[in-house]
Amino acid sequence: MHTPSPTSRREFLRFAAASGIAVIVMPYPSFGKFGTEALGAGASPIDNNGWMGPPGQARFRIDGIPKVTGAKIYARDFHARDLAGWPKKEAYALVVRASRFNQTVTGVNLKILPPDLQPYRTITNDDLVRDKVADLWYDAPMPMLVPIGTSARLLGQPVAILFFDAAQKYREAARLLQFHEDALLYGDVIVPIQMPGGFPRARFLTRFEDEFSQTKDGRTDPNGQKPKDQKAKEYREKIRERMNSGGLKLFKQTYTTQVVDPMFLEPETGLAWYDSEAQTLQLLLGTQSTNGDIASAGSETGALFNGSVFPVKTVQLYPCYPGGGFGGRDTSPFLALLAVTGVYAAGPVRIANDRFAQFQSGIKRNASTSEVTIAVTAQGKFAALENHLALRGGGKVNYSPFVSDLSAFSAGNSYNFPLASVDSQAMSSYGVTGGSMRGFGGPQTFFAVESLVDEIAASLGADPIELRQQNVLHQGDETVTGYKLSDDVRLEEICKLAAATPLWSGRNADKAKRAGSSKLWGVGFALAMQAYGVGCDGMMAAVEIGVNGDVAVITNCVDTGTGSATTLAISTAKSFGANAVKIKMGEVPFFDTNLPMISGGKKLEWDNPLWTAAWALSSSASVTAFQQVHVVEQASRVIFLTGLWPAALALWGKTKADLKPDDSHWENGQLVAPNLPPLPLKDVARRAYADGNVIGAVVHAVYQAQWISADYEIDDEVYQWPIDGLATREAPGLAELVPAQHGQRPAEARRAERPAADYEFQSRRNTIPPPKDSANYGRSLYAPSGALVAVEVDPVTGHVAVKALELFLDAGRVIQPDLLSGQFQGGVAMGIGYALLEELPPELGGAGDGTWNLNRYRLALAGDMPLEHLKLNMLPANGPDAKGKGIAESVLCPIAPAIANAITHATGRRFRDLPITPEKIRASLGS
Amino acid sequence: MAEETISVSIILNGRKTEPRQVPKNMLLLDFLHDEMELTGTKFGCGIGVCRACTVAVQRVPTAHLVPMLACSTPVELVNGQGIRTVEGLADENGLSKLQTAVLEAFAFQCGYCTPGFLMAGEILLDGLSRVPVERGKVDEAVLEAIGQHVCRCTGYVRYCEAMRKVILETPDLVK
Repeated sequence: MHTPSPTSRREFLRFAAASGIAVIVMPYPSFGKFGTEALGAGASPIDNNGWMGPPGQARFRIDGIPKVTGAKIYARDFHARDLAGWPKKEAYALVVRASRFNQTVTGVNLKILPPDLQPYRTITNDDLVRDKVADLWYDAPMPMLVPIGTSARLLGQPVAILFFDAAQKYREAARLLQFHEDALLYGDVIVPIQMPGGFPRARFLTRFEDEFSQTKDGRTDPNGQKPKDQKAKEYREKIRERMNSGGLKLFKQTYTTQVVDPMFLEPETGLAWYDSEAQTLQLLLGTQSTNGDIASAGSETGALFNGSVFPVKTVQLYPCYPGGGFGGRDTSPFLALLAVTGVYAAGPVRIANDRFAQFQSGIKRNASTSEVTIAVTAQGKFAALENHLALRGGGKVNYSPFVSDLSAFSAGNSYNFPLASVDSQAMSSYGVTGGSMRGFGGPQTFFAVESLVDEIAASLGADPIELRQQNVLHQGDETVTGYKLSDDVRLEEICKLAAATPLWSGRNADKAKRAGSSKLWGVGFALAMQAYGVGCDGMMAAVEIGVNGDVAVITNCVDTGTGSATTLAISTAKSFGANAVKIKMGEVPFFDTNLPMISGGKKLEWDNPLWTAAWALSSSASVTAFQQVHVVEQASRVIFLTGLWPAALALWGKTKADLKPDDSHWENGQLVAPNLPPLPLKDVARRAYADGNVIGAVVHAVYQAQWISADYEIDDEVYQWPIDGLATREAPGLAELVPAQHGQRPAEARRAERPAADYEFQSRRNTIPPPKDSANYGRSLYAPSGALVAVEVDPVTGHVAVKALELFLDAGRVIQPDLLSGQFQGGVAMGIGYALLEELPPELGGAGDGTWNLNRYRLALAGDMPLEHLKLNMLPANGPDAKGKGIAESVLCPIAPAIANAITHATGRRFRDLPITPEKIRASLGS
Repeated sequence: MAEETISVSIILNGRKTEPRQVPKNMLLLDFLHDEMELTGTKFGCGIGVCRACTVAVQRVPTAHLVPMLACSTPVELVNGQGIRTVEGLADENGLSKLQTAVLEAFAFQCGYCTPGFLMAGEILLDGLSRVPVERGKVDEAVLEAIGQHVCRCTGYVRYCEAMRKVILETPDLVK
């Protein structure tokens, strides 16, 4: 049975109902005033309120104290003994994986283990079949465990799960089996099972000026038969004719990038406990998406166990803070494997990948091949683009088609190409599964395009930045999808700033000055127009204010280290003049309960007040600064306008006619309005409670080219807010505190109308849907960046040292500078690794053989960073109302191509495949 | 075949642990996690490369602290010796100077590598308290202490800045 994971809330609800499985989510560690509520471990004794700075700022991360004190917050920290209600003793599972795909697997060789190290149980595919456990992965038509007698479909595919009843026994057995050549027994060499060439959903973009594009004409396939597909084919022929018509110079090259491991530092770890009497399966694991993991927990366990000898009525999920993610935990196969392990263990069981296992099984960044052609006029204007992208997806489809999509949308990068033909497809292979990783298709494409642009500059004798500046997109230009940029993308500004630096303007003189030295000096530049969000972004947040003015935020998102917990906790300041004292992350049931909305389906139903186009996103796609902040700010604003403002008016003895909310502002924790006494937040909150005003708001919002807006009526007043779902909670009222005043509804009367302080879902009216063609934009939100890099190349050893790096970034409004600059610095390290250091062979000899670890996989260390010249140049935000932009990926994307261009400047050689290793440089310079 | 065991007692964060019978080849990291239930010391690579599992060892009382990679060190090797982990850095007065500096510098992100960096930093501070460094060599000393530590999130800059700050602000560490 091949069952895809639900992609929409409607699908999930339907699936959950069909599978009959209830998913309960245990509290994710929350941060703030009340300490870390680590599961069963008790609250931290240290007062976390020290994290707060002035309103809108943080002194340090809200999740900081547990991390510097070694508190238990990661999945790897927990054992069965830590979890309330669990049996204390746990078993340990060792997953044995195939390291070959061209031979049949004939068995697991347990004879390697002495009698005292034998597992008490071994599970293979035969057991799954016998027990009617669905033996196929939910997202791939291949067995979860390689059936004995067949060959693996991908390197690293699990073959067997061995169970040990003691930790040391497990460790000893793992040591003996891990690198033993005969741990798995293999039979005949066979012709490997034919993999389908491409994963579904190849993306074809055809843009012919303003006549034809995806935005205008919808998604097309020039190989297809529909009328619009035929049109796309015709336009492609026209593009080809134009390119070859003479008068244009064609530049064509092929570039390749490598498989990369996200290398988040906490290997995937989980606990599972199946209680057969209660028919409950409990799962603990680190998560990048509680929504995703809950959906997976429900749908995958349903798919796995319905009809099996392991009935599961309820899944109880314990999501934990992840020790890094970078996308690599998104839709990881780990959860399903943990679930299957759990039902066979007869008690709690732990899977703790070591680093070899993590390399062998974890999601990878897709390798890529880009064949790029750019047609240029004699004046250096880019006239046309052809870009054929193939991404290596590994053995399972996972997110590869979506990565391929973003590669396609990014295929023109920062440039205006009035004519464009772009094809992008993720290809299946025998390698470890590719999927989401920071940049998500952008890094692959930008390396190719930015390298070619530099090659064009060299051929034309043009300054590389000037050539870029001549061709960058501006507001009103269209991308390769035909989306007309509604904002100024400021690429020209980035080019000018970079060109004006001494590092760039002096690069040739510096190179000449160093001509006598043993090292070659080079400076390179690259642009990246990396998108954030996924084109249709569903977001949610709740804010509540206590009677004493304490503010709390509840969100479904998780902080993978990016700082979103802190950012969201300080995003209440605009409406309350105060940060939140507590933030609860990874919360899902709260929103499911209070926002009874549905999503998905083929039809758009914006006139249905319960319908939304997108329910939730994982904590990825750089959605904190713009999208997540938006919902927290909107929830805060709802409370201010409908809860605190009426209370303030009452305290001032004013009416709505006398004073508008915008006449007030917060100052030093007090609400201030002209000629009126300042009101401390706690007094306003207390009055709001006394009057039974709104003191809690749960909001849902969707961004698709714009925020979906609608009207909401609260207390006889209609507001238009940029949200598409709302529930509010009123304080029960404290009538004895405040007598009814003239013009006010008595609190008593209000309390009689609504005795319970539950959330009430508010009906949405007059919804303003997104622009009609916006579903075809691809992406509409960008955080452009440019990187300027100086390198020293040792021509003898081939070693490259990055000596200086400046990034130019449009981040919009900066919320917490320390968090942003930390993302930049981390992006630089990751970019250096991508350009120079990190590499996994895609199939044979790659991570799937189980022998990879950090002794072979080289990450950037402190000494690889240009610590003496590392600068982040922020473009000033466009005005006081500017919003933040999601930059976590855009700080990474231009680094590798800029380094490649710098190496070319230094050596005079062009390197068209990553990483640019010392061996490649030596070989090139030696030839 | 009965598993061979040894009796292990260490001085963990200043307190002597009760002797325990543990497997002879038990690793220090597993001892901390399983026997002491202290999970602050992290498993990253398991082969002594990433340094996330760094603890500070004091071989004899008053000896200087030395780094030890708990993932690759048999507990037998440190039997009877002083071991300091991240859980032992704060005391009744609050966080250590380095913990505070690392916090206030926003030096970490996911935080998984942080205990290793903190312990390496504490070892450096201990070393400098015995043999101060020249002001001009502070950065070099910091890089020597943490230059091999792996962090995937941060780019290391703020860790270096935090350590530099503490060194420069603590009396008698710099000559």
